[in-house]
Order: sequence, then structure tokens, then C-alpha cells
Amino acid sequence: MEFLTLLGQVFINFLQATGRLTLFTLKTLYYCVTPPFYFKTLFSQMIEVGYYSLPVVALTTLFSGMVIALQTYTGFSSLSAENAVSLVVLISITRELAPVMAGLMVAGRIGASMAAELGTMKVTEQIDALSTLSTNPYRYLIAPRVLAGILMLPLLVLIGDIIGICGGYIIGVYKLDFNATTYLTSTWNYVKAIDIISGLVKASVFGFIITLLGCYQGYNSKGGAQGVGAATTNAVVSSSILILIFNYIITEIFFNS
Amino acid sequence: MISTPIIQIDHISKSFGNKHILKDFSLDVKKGESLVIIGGSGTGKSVTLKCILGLLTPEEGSIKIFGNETAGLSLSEHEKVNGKIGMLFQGAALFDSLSVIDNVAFALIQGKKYPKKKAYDIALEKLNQVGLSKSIANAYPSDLSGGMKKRVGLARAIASSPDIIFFDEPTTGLDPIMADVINDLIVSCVKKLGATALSITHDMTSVRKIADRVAMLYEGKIIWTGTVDEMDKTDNPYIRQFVEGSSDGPIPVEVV
Repeated sequence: MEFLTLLGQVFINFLQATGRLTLFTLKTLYYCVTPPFYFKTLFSQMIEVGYYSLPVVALTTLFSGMVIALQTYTGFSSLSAENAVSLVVLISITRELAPVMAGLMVAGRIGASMAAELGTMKVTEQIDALSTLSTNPYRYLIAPRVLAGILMLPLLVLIGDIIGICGGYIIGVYKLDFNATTYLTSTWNYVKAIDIISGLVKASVFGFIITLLGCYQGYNSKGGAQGVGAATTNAVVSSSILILIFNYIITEIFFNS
Repeated sequence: MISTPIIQIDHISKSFGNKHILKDFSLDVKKGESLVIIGGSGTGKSVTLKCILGLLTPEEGSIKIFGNETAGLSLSEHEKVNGKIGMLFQGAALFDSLSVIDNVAFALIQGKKYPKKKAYDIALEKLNQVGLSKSIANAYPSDLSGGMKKRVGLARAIASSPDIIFFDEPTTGLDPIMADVINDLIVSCVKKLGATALSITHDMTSVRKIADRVAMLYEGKIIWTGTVDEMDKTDNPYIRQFVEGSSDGPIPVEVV
């Protein structure tokens, strides 16, 4: 009997949490598309999400491209299909690695920082203070952050695509002795709009997930430093899991047919 | 002059889970008066303020500000009402990412849409009013002492010349001299603006300095109201125990 009570409680808690998150998402979307907009805050968040995340995204996609080239060559040479290296690098970077790696890196950097910042603001009553100063916290704090995530992640991934492909090129040409012109030509010939677009759509969705969950966890944090710490961890863990789940769903939508 | 209730709280209740914080709570605050709610920690003083500000929604009852019902309004709908209210938070709640002047001018720029120059001029005047010089205008909250933060918080609360000002434990965490300075500033700012003030505190020195009327909150209800003189003379055992700070009396000492 006690087990059933516990199970029921867990289920109710799950439904409550889902309801809270859904309401938060709907409110956020409403304030994202209705004026007034805080352009100054939006711009500073775009710099924070985009510009300052560039080094970490560049490094991860560079090395991902390099390692994909190396592994593909190692695996495919036994099938005498070394020429597929540029194609594999291109597809894996644009469709999967650049958006997922950028998403996970930004989740660690931006999701955590948003949760910590908003969490601290919450526990020190700064968010309450905003309301008393006739400023809607959703409009002033959350909408600019979420919009920045939606807009900047695709840009980061686009740059990540280029850098990742360059990583493959570096290994292909300087380590595996491919002809530079042939490698570039075959890469260019294999480029398809759908590969790039699917990656950018993923990036936009990941940007939304990261910033939304970072803000949600921070905005709902309780109980001082420990609560802020928990909010930060939850933001990173939940957004990382959702990134991987939505990566599969979007891949299904784009490529299943 | 002290007659019309500007805030009317009528039989509100607020719970968190199984914990009933406010039970059938009623209180009127009249125009121009300075009312102080006293009560022990965890009795629901801050919850009362948050219900009035629309940060929390009571489960039952009515809250009228300027005669208009505000209980149950959404946060956005409350923005208009809050435009006439200033609030000094317990920890000042200054925005870490903004300078002192931007903190003080915040409501003027974001809420009232004043041009920056005009808002800054008013902010500097308010800083001067709370005894802070122009030189700290560009400092950040992390550079300030507790007393200075409270002063900046007070300047922010009065910046938009509100009709009502709330003070949440204004002297908590301050040394006695700085607490007295803050109390004097509260009295002078409220008088200068002609505002109605609602404060919550358990600092009896502060109560004696800033209150026209005192209300005692215990177990989610107002159990006594009166002037400071009446408070000193009453035989009410709850008031006597609280004012004298005694562990003997009807209020149990809760040790968790």
C-alpha cells in the first residue's frame, strides 16, 4: 500500500512539474513575440551566447572533424573506400556533430550560467524587486535570453560546420595525404542544403531548450546557495538529455523518408 | 487626514502545502499613516507583503489597493498597481549587474519611460536625499557596505515618488547606529513624499521610531493593533512578551 502511495505521489509530482514547465514555456513564448522588447538586453545576451561560446564550439567541432576523418580512414581503408572520408566528415559534422556538440557545450556554459544567475536573483529577491518596479521578469529577463539562444545557436553551428570540415581537411590532407584540391572538390560536390538546414534547425531547437531550461530552473530555484547549485545541475542535465532526445526526433523528421 | 483605507486586506488565507501561513488575515492601512506589522520569524509578515504586491496569490479573501481589487490579478495586471508602490527589500535586492544610478533610475526608465537624462537627474537627487554622494553613482552593489545598500534600496524605492512604500525588515543586519540612520531616513522620506508606509519588522527600536500604528501578527492573524503608546501600556500578554523579548509567555519558543 505504501508503495502505491509513493508511486502515486511520484506520478502527481511528475504531472505538476510537467504542467509548470508547460505554463512557463507558453508564457515565455508569448513574451518572446509580443512587444515591448528589451533590445539592449537581447543584444548583450546574443553576445554572451554567441560570441563568448565561439572558442569552445570551434575547438570541439575542429577536433570532432579531425577525429571523424581519422576514424573513417581507419575503418574505410579496409573496404578500399578511403575516398568517402570527405563525405563522411561532411555529413557527420553538418547533420549531427556540429549541432549536438555545440548544443552540449552551450548547455554546459550558457544553461548553467543562466540558471545560476537567475537562481541568485531569485533567492536574493531581485526578481521580486523587478515586479515591484513595474517590470515583467518574463519580458525583461527570460524572453531576451531565450531569443538569444534561438538566434545564436544556428550561427554557432554554421561556424562549427566550417571549422569541423576544416578539421577533416587538415587530417585528410596533412596526415592521410589526400590531394587538397580533390578533397575540397569532393566535399563541395557532396554538400546538400538539407544537411546544412537540418543542422541549423536542430541548433535553433537546442538553443531554445538550453535557454528555456536554464531560465526555468533558475527562476524556480529555492533555498539559497544549495538551491542555486541544484538549479544549475538540473539545467545542464535536463537540457543535455533533451538535446539528445530532440536530436533523434528531428533526424527522424528530416531523414526518415 | 488619517481616515481612508488605502490598503484593505479582508480575510485572506495563504498556505504552502500543509503549512497555513495566513489564516483569515484582515488589516486596513489608512492614507498617510505608517503602519508597522510586528511578529516573530516565520509568522507570515513577508508573505503578507508579497500577497499585497501580487508576488503571491492568496487562496481566499480580498485585497484592495486604492479601492481596486488586486487579489488574483496576474503579474502583468499588477504592474500598473505596483507603479504606485515602492519597496525596500530586506537585503536591498539591488540588481548586481547594474550600477547604483541604474538601480535607482530603473523604475523611471523601464516603468515610467522617462528619458535617461531626466531619470538620472531624479536618481541623483534621491541618492542625495538618502545621504549618498554623486561619487558612488557608478559603483556596483558588490562594492557597497550593507548600510549603503539599504540606502540605495531606499533611494530606489522612493525614486518614482510612490503613494505607498513597503519596508521589509529595514534594519535587519545593520549596526545600531546605521539602523537609526535608516529609521530616520525612512521617517523623513515618507513624510516628504506624504506616502503611506507599511513596514514589517521585529526590531522594537525601529517600531518606536517609524510607526504611527502597530499591528501584531501571530499564527497567521492580526491579534492586536494600536499606537506605540498603547503598545507600551497594553496588558496583552502576546504584546508584552514580544516587546520585552521574553522567553516566558504565551508565544512558545520554537526550537527546531
